[in-house]
Amino acid sequence: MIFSKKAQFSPARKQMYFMIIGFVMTVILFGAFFMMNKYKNDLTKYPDELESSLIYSRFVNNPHCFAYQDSTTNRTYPYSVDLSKFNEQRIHDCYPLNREKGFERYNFKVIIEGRDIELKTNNFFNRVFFTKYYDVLIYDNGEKTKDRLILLVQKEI
Amino acid sequence: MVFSKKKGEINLMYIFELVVVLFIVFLVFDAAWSFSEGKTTGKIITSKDLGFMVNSLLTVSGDAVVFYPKNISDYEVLLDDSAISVKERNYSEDVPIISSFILPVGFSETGVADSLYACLTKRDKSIRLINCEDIFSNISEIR
Repeated sequence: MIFSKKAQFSPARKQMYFMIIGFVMTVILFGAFFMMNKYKNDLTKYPDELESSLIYSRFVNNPHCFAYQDSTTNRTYPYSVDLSKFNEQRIHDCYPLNREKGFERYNFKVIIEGRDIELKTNNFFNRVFFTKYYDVLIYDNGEKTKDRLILLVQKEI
Repeated sequence: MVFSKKKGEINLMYIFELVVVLFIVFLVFDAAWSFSEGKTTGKIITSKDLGFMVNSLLTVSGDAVVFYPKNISDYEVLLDDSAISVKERNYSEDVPIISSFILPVGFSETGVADSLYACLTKRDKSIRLINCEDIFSNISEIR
């Protein structure tokens, strides 16, 4: 019988044992590292809306973007849009994206609903991740009207 | 004897087995140890938090000071080149975790925080990262 002599075949059996154990241990190790990494990623995860909302809030709150600033008092009105600032140059100065690699960042399309005017950042390709609506005050040559701002947000591609 | 005939072969196998087991145990303990220290996770969280704080400051029309309530005594935080980088303090070879953001044209940012608490200030178009101790005499009061 082939397996009758212990001394003759135990190294071969040992090799088999090592092969199986080696495979199992590798799987266990990879599994453990994968789980640790996943846990770490879960710990540092944040909602996608958070960063994009922090970015687009500047559009309607920062006077260097679209927000209206009273020239006499220098007071900036939050959630306002000065129509004289609502142009291509301003959106690129407010959120200057790299022309070649800007798609790796959040991109936005901003629409003033009542007037049907829109602007978009330079790498917006209509891959809309989510849409946000803001009630804003539109300032147009001293006239103030209520309107709604529609923000189409494109996540990094 | 280790290298003698069949017995020797088995002894070698045992030594090899022991080395492999010790190596695996070392790998797992090393990974678990570095994970339990949580430096990388802490660095990622700190850099993201501060990156979000810079973005928040850009939504403020006037000047502002923001206090970051987490103790950063384990890290060195640098604000430069439209990015926050966080690395372990007193360990120059540590790979920093970087969180980048986009500033409007004309804005500038700079600063280092290497004390207990970090603060971000915005004055006109300049954003600075500083040690809170530099502007607040009593940190415990504002915490």
